[in-house]
Amino acid sequence: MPDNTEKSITGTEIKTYLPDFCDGDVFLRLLLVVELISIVFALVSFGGGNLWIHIGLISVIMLWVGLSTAILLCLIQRRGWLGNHLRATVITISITLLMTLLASFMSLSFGSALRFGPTALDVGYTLTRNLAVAAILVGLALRYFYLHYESDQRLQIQARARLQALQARIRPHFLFNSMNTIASLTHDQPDIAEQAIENLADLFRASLAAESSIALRQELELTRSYIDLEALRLGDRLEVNWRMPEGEPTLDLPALTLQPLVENAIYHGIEPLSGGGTIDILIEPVANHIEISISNPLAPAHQKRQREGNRMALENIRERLDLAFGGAASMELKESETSYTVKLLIPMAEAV
Amino acid sequence: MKILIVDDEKPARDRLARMVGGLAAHELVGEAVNGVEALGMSQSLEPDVVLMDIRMPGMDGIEAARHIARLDQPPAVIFTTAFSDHALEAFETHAVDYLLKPVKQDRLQAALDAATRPTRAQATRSNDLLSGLEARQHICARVRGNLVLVPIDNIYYFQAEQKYITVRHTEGEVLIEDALKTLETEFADRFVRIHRNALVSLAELAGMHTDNDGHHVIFRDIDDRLEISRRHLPGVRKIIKQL
Repeated sequence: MPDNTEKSITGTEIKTYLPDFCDGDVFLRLLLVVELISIVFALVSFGGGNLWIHIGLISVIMLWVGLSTAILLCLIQRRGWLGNHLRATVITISITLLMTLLASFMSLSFGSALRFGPTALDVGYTLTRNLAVAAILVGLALRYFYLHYESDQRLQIQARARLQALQARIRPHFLFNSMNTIASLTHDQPDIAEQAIENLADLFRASLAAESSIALRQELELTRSYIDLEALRLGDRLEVNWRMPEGEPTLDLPALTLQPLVENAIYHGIEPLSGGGTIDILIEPVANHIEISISNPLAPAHQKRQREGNRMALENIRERLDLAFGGAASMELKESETSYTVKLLIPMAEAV
Repeated sequence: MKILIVDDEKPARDRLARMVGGLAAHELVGEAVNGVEALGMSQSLEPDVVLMDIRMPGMDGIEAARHIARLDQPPAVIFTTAFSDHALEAFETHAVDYLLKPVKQDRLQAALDAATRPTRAQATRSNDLLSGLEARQHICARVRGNLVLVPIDNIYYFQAEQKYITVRHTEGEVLIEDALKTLETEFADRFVRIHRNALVSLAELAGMHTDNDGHHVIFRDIDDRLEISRRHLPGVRKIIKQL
């Protein structure tokens, strides 16, 4: 079962999109970027005098802002006060502006004492300018962190999908029982055995590409291959009732969205029932969406097995739907005494 | 030897049947599709060896094996399974063999050739080993030579009387040979001890009745009353308060 590996990959520590400022590497890179920006500003604003002193002064101010902001953020992160994305954003911007304000005042007082830099006359202008620059820079930085975080998440979710798909295929229960079925059929019904091997191959191939997106038609084909394979094993204990509209709707969806749901339905719904049962698969256009619902009967309460693996598969399907359709796709679970239904709502137009 | 095959999947049964058919020294006497059938056939067909799948709907192979071990002349049970999980580690240390699916012909032959009927004592010992695993879903009793399975859900209480334990359930009563202590441990989350001689189902418990005769528990659906001993009174009170 996929518990341990899953947990380590899912992780629970990273809560916001900000990098870990306590990390030495992140810290150094931040300082480097700040220094480079300081040099750019110094070169642009250089109006005569000693260039090195000019660069030095601007660097001191900007590095001080960068350094103090990073240290404060690190302290706040350590205590877990950043909370959600919004809060993290507000806190970061506030701290940066505050530090800029402090740095500006310091530079003003030191500057006039040392007789260089802005004089008291343009205090208002200087402060506004510095705050504006700081706001723009921190805005850009946050945007960069967010994009970085998003692509990271995407990669993680996709990797998880592939891992889960493969784990489902090499789940000993599935793998060895399928092989046993094939071993049995090879003797008496070699044609069916051949088909079973083809279906098994399709499923493995799909699992290796679980991060891609495919047409609904292909996903349905794969789901049928899977059902055919399980039907050999379960015989008349498994009945599947398909309800489809005339002409399959064309739409793309993340690969292995439906097959794992049917697999769950069989594993948790049909197999524990001595007499077997029926899985209902309903596909129906609703407004500009396609509704797909899969329901299975439930065994009496005391026979219920652990559903940890099930939850994880569902969670991953939900994540991938979010990734592919933004918030436009949804997944809904309904559980009653005697049945369990998963309902997907997928938009037709904005396919991936 | 007489062989009984138990598996819920037809291709798996077919394959084992064909393999057993190829062995001159052994004879297939029956095929069962779940644990309950396996238990009935173990008694009626008197096989020497049961080839038992583990994961089956209704009653699984492990529970069936535990009931079979209590028969007078228990057959040897050889588990056949698609994977070796924790349960199997227990068997590895014991006389009972197990085969991994898809089973190989020579491995099957070796296991069958080595199998001999365990004595009742051995079977009971392996049963003790199994009792550490998971609570049974049924109690198996014998009524006039026939096996009767009582689902745990249907049981009101166990009451010990000298050598036997009375199992009071929705359909009546049966007698079993067991120790109340073992039942108490096995069903700790579903039954509570109210007296040296009685365990009561938490689900069926309705409350407590007190009069000159002392304290008694009463049930939802039946009029039976069982005495609560002084030692168990505080514990029972606490449970009844939470009802």
